Amino acid sequence: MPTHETVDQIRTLLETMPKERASLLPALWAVADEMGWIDEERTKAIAEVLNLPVADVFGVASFYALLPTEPARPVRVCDDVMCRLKGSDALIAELRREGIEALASPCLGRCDQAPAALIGKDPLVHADASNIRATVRGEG
Amino acid sequence: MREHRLLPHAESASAPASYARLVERGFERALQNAASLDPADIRRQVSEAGIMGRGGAAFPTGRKWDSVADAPGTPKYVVMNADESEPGTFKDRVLLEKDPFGALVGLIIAARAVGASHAYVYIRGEYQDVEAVVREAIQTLEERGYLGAHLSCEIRRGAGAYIAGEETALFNSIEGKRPEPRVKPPFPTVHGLFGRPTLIQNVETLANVAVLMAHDVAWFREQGTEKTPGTKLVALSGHIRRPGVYEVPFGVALKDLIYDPELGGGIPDGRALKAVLLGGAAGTFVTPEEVSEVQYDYGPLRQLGASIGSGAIMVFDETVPIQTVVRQLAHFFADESCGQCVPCRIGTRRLVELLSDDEAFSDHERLKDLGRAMQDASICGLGQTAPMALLSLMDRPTLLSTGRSAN
Repeated sequence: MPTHETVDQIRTLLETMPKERASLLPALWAVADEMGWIDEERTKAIAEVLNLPVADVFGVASFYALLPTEPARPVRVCDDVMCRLKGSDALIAELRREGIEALASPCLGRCDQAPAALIGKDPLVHADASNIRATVRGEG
Repeated sequence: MREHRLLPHAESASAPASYARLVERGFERALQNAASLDPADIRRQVSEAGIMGRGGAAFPTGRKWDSVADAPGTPKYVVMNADESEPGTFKDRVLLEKDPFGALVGLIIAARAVGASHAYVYIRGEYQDVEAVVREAIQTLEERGYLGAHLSCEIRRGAGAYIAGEETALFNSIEGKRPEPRVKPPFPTVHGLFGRPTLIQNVETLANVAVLMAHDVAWFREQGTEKTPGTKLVALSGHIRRPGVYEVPFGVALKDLIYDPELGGGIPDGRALKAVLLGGAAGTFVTPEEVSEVQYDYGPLRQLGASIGSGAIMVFDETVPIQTVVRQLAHFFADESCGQCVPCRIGTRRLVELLSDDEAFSDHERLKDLGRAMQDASICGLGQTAPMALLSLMDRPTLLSTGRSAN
């Protein structure tokens, strides 16, 4: 069971949203944006506030790649066709060697400025180890 | 000279989401023009202009609008599909960033033409910078009374799922369900979002409606070909000097798109062209010879078994082993398959497994057999088109010869 504190916090966050199924995706984003990630407790709290089965909330939340389930803020590096042409697989390996948590991401839609990365919600184009490092540490 | 319609002129000084821009682009005129017309007249003009869907399917837009207008049931919805997520495809991002009003004005006009009272703009979560521009433009339109009580407009942010761009999966996503595609028919025009008649269109299609309404049918048909009037946004990427989005009339020579110094500008580093993947991850590979001969239009491309698709043009130079590209595409589809139907869930996996072996590329019968099963039996376009690029290589064996290694 989620704590009353978590439920109250999420109830406040979702105050203006209609308490219906169609609010689920915006609700998940609101929790991800404001609280950082959506863990099991928060999943249950969202279900309680929107009056939905926990399984449905989990089923939807876990379908999407961008909704974080834990506190880490990984760097997503596009490893699809066009970014790979520009060396994104080597870039991912280099970042991991440096201890930066780099996830391979499907196409980020910035193939004209490959390789592309997504750090939090912010896109980074013509990405390389040094500008990713600067962005990650700059936000440190 | 190439004419810009959908993309604003580079020298435009107004902010993309400002009222000044709305006026400068002629979109306020378009809105007033549409408001003075009967909904049936708007639909007739869209049909006469010959606009076809720019998201990839090229379905006649006017016909789709008629069927939503004729469908019983209220409320009706209009949806802008800005969930662009296919490798090589980024034209909607650039269009919305540079000129958010085109597509939004098209959406408002579409709502009037089909009798819709609610509008949604569905944007992928990877484009939150673009979403901010669109949000600002919606606010400008609300302040001017073009959106409001008569027509609400809500942005929905996707959260990282390629399949959500499939129209019925997108409806499920808005409804708070898993974005899994629905079986069609019934089609969205009669049974769409929340089970109501729904018009869903690609960003670029809607922008075409806005520029049409700012002018007239004769003006619209001045560009492009008789069968495919108008212009197309193409997204050039890969081994090309000037990657980016360009607006060209339908019927332009494909080689000009790639080599014209004002367009692609040719292949960099003195290398030769190996292949072009037309239309996106589910597109068709064409050879340098085909590139030099074909016009960029549906009819001529169909004769090569190719299509314009979303407008993606992915360029590979002679150093690229096409096998690795195909493996990466297979990996993409296997990753993004929603898992709902067996031919796609299993088929995309089998493709990845099969292609791990270079020998498999010459086992045409086996690949075609798997491809056919996926094309025939998958619920939606993802599974149906996932094997397309691979199958296009069966007729083009030269593309599978070993690439020159990069120095």
